[in-house]
Amino acid sequence: MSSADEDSVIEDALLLQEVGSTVRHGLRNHLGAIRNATYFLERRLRMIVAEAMDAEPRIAKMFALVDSELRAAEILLAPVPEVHAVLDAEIGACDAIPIIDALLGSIPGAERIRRDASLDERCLVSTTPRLLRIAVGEILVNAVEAIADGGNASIAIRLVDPGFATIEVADDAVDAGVPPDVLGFLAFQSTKEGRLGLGIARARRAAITWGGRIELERPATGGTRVLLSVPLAAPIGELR
Amino acid sequence: MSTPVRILVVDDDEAVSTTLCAILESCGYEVDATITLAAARDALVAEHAVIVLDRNLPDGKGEALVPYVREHAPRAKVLLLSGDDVIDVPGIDRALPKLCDPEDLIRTIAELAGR
Repeated sequence: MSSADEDSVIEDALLLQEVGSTVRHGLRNHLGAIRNATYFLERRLRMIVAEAMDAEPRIAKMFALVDSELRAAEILLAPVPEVHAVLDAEIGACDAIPIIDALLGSIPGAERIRRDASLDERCLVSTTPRLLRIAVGEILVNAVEAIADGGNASIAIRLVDPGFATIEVADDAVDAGVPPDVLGFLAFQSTKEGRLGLGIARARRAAITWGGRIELERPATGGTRVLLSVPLAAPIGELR
Repeated sequence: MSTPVRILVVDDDEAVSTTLCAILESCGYEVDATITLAAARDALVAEHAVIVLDRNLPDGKGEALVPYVREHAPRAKVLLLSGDDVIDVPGIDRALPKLCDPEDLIRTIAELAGR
């Protein structure tokens, strides 16, 4: 399999995980409410019309049926282990800097993103080059789109969170007034009109896979700051 | 007559919140419900014995409320209810999946409330 094909498999797996996770999350909410409601109804009916329920045994049978169907659905809602296996493979130490530099050199428009001096030294992180490339790539593409009509963007690495490197991509573009809503990272929720919201969702799933996280901030001064944390592969003193 | 144990439910999903409150009230709890972190901060009182907290709320992650709970209602226990695949949240007292058996939920809340 070529490197591009392998990238494509990982991208598909990230998307599957993220979309699956979003759908499972929603279904758990809906089914949880149904389970709570039927539980409440059965208990109350037993208190209020116990005799009527005894006279019509199918009522209790129907409640049991709903419960058993919910249990069956719960089993179907388990994540797919094969997708986990694809994403968990080959996590190890890699230098984030050449990956970021390659992205800055290959993404159209990324030459407008200022490279901070914090990227001048090595930064060994614990992930796979492929996952890091996909996640940072999605964030940089977003930044390029954000400043398409004007504004500035930058990329830096901060070592402020113990045990983690934080890759910070910031822009000062005027946003659409979208709040810094954590749900903005879920699949199918885009801050851009006509978009599916899958890019950042894919980055979020990559971050979860390597044990990090992604956060979005909207500074009071305007613009957007995306913070992608990646576990350090060695103590800070031995990193560089 | 003893004072009912007070519970605060924080969940923006109306169906989940309504059914959860109905179950807890039928168990004899006095239940307050809010749909955001900001409203939960306003509603929280020292008498709340258990905070039933959703993870994904309109104004942030549910666990962001925990430090505020520890400060303003230090005796309250926090039970996180989540629809996420993995519930791995530090600082909370207990966690249950959204789709849990209501009997488990009632038992867990009774334990946390010391009943």
